[in-house]
Amino acid sequence: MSVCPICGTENAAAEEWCTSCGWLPSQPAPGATPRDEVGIEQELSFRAFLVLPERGMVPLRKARTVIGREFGDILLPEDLNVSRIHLALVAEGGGLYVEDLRSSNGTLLNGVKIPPGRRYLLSNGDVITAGDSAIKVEFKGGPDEGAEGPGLYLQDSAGKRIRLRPGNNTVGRLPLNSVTIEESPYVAREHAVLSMERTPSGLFFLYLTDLGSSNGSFINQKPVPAHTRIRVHPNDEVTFADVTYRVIEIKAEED
Amino acid sequence: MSPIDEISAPIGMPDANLWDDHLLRDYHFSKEVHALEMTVALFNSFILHQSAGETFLLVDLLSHEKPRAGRESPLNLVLLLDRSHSMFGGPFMEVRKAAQVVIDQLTGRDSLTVIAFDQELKVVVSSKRVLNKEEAKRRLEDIDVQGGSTDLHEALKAGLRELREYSGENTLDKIVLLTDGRPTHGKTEDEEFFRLAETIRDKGGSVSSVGVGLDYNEDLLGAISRLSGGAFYHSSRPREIKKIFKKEIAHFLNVSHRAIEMVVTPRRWVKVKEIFGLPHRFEDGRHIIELPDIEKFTEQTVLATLQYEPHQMGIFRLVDVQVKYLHAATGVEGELSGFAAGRFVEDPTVIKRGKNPRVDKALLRRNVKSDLISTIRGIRTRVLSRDEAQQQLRDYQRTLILSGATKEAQELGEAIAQLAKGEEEQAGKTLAQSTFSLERGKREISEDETPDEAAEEGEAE
Repeated sequence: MSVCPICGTENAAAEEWCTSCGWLPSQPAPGATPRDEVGIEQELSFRAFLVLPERGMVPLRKARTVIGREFGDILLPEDLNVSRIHLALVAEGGGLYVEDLRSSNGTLLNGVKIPPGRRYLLSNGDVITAGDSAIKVEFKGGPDEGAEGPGLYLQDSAGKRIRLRPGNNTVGRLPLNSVTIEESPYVAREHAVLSMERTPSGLFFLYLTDLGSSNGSFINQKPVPAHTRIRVHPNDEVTFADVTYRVIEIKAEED
Repeated sequence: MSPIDEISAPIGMPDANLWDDHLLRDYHFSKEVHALEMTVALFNSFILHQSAGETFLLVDLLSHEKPRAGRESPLNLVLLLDRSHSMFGGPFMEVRKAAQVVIDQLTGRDSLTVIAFDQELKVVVSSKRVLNKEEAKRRLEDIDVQGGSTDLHEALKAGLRELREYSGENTLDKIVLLTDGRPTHGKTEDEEFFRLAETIRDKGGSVSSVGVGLDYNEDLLGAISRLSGGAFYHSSRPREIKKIFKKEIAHFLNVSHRAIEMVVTPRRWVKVKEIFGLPHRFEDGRHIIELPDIEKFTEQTVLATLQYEPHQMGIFRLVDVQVKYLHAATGVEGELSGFAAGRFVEDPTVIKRGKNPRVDKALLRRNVKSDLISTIRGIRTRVLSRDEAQQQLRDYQRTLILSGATKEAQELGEAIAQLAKGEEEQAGKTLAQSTFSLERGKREISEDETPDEAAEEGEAE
């Protein structure tokens, strides 16, 4: 579901145009500052860095950072396998995403080629490969990946916790997913999305969308219909094929 | 759309120039489905965003059906022939010959009814299968001119009755009406005829009318044809009747898509103000237009005026267009859908980049039609001198040639010649025929004129 910024109509996510006023959602909303001019601190609660070959750590400063051989904010002129405009790093709604800008040789996320024009949520420590250059993503100052700060977590049967971050957390077998499940062959390569959305009152709501996986997703053992966004509550059990997690909420300690 | 697209709405926009290109191009949809091509376009893809205004919408349906493609649908034909006293002599002999030519064109699958009418009706031929052509022709020889007055309404009603008698699942139901006079007997009110024409269309039929001589009412015949989805012809010389019949039957046999219904749905802040020249109705926010059958290599144009309220800047989809049809060669039902989108902008200087030459041409043809009507009125009332009228017609002729309406341009040439000979009334009727076909928006496309070429040539201007 997405709300049209023009007329306020709620549209199914699959709608290419607003069903009421015909607005094309994939254009900047009117009055929006171009993303290139928005500071990254407005979108992220932590600081994001890239570790570049032979150049060390570079902070990201804008909500949209373009990387290319000749054009963009970060240039990689010596790598001839990098396209002139190669990829973009986009910060939005608390998450940092990578998007391939139809480069000739493609972009890899943790060794897996990502389709062009689509965005994938990045985690601390992810490695993006453009041409022959490996770029490591590092987050600082924010909730650390491993730390048990306040937030929402998925806890597996062994008690191990995976932190969910604001935005779309993809779940699947491929390593480019935010939650990678390698142990079960029944989990689809791109199985489901857990989207963590901030409500106007500042709370975080969690939604599960199954991406049409063969073996399905379940909330508290009940199958969920594919391509439908369903709210998940803390302490619910979510199951992807045969792998089950419990959703844990750790609240900030009250003063 | 793959699932990943749904979860990751792209940020920002594809390159702005790319979008402009995309919008400037016509939308071509499913080029090869049942050999029917639909194009949806706005008069201008750029629209000023601050103010309300009007623009034009063009929907073109072009049949690419191969000339030799077979026909699944048998023809169910009703000929209504006027045999009132005024047809006496030469004219009726020509009608008889013309009807016999029609019989020759039919096959054993087709059904045929011939009704001769004055103030009474006589069913001359009524057969489900045209098997014995000689017998049918002989029966035509037996009828002759009779009474004095014309009961056109009763004739059309009988035509509808006969049409339904032989109408089947897949038949092409067609009435061809030939008359030389005004209705003088029975119901003569225009509204009665309009209602009947609509009923015939609702039952899946159409009336093509042929006006002979000078005494018939071209406005009435034109309206009957238009409302029922048929064609309208003027025949100044009885000799031409045969040619016209032959041509019209050939059209029927060349129908490639029929039972065509177009639905235009405007989005919010957009209204359809007017749909030109075609019967339509409004239901649940949608405009439903019933289109006449399309023949092979014929283009049907639908033009509408859209009204829009002020919009935010950006790209909006203004209307959705959906077309349902029956493919004549296979008898299969099909559907095409498309839309028109525009970019609402602030800068008036970019507007001229968004103009679509194709819509421009269709509008030119449409405007000539309106101008023609006033010229015809001028000729009829003698407000226009012969020279003035000829001058105006020459101007229109030029415009028509430029905008691709060669057939109508030829007819105008004929009318100019008639005016030169002092045949004002003949010229008026010839022009009424051109007006009719311009209004209906149907055009035969020669094989070398593809729409793409037409568009390019426009851009170069």
